Amino acid sequence: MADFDYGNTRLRAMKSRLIPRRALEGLTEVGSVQGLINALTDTAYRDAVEAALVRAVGMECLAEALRNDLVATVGKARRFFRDQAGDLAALVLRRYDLHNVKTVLRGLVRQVPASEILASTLPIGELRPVDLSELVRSQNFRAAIDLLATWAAPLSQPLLELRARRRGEGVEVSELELALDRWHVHTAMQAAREADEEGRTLFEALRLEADVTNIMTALRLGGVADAALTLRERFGADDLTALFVDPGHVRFGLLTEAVRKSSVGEAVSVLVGTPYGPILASAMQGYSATGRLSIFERALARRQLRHAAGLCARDPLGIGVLVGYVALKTNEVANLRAIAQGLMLGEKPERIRAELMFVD
Amino acid sequence: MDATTLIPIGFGMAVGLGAIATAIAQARIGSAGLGLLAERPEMVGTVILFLAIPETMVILGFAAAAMLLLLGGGVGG
Repeated sequence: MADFDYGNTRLRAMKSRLIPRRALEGLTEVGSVQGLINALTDTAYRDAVEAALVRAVGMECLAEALRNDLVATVGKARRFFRDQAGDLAALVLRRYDLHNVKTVLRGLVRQVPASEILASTLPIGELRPVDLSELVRSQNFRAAIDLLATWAAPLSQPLLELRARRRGEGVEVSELELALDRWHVHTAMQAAREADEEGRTLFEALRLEADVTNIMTALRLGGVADAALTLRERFGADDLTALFVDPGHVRFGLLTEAVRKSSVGEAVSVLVGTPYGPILASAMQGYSATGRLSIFERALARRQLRHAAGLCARDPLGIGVLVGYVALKTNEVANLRAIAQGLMLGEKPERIRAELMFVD
Repeated sequence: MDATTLIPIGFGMAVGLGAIATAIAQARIGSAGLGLLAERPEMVGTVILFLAIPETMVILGFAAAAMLLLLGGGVGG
């Protein structure tokens, strides 16, 4: 039996330090970014804010403080677990490695300065800050992949496979990102399934994550006039399933049918019979009024957040506590960023509050 | 096998099984307690209290074993 006792109690104690909804909503009324920084010194962000104030002011200070706090809190959670529990925790936190590698690859392609790329990474997973520093110094994204392969980083496997398949042709970063996502979901689901009872919670969370990713892909392409043609031109494949990660509850058949539709509304009508039907139907009203796909993304993200947050109670002795904590902490940081941006733009408190996402 | 032979075995089982159960419970509570203390050192009193609760199992086992010895004729018999 995996040992989650130490880590889960620690995570619950850390969860008790998250800012309550009422207090977070109260931060929308502080009037300025400086006011928000001052208010955060009375919270668990105090150390991170004080450290950032030495180096920067205003929005830059806040961004650095939020990033550093997220890296410090979620990053240390990795060390709470060992053996089988440690393997499952590593799977939960692997998404940060994915985020970091994608950020570095994108940055190298667009020739963004190394310092800016590094500031956008979150060294929480297996890749340490020193690894990322070395990675961003690569001459181009091909060299970065080679470096990952030299370190025998598991993440390099899908990238090398794709490059070998497409020998002689150029590979776009979007293809590399898709290969990484597909590899991550496939291997994580496999590992969670093999962990039997201990991995069941994680497997369910991964299925939900896969569904959200796939549904958003289907909706984005649902509005494209000839998605199959676009796919052939861009990815050299006729099989639409090549666009999706391993399916969760929504099967490939439904997803490819949604992609073939000529409008987002029709794509949603295909998916209405799935467990996400009510959420998509409700978001469709907002989409009809604004034409923004982000409304679907937000509705699905809220569903994902609620599921993850509920795992703290539903799986109190397993990996669910880590999944829940990571989701809640990430959401809190996203909410604080939204508040800061709203304050910077001089938005009214009620307008900022509408942008925040909560579990209840 | 007569009753006087079984009494020491019963004594050993009552104390031994109680001690094993206590050890299992305290290992998990201790591990969780350390996790809590790492984040909230002010909770030390609560952790010690929770850590002591499983001791009742081995104490009750010892009490049952002592009754077995004293009332069952295991002493000086």
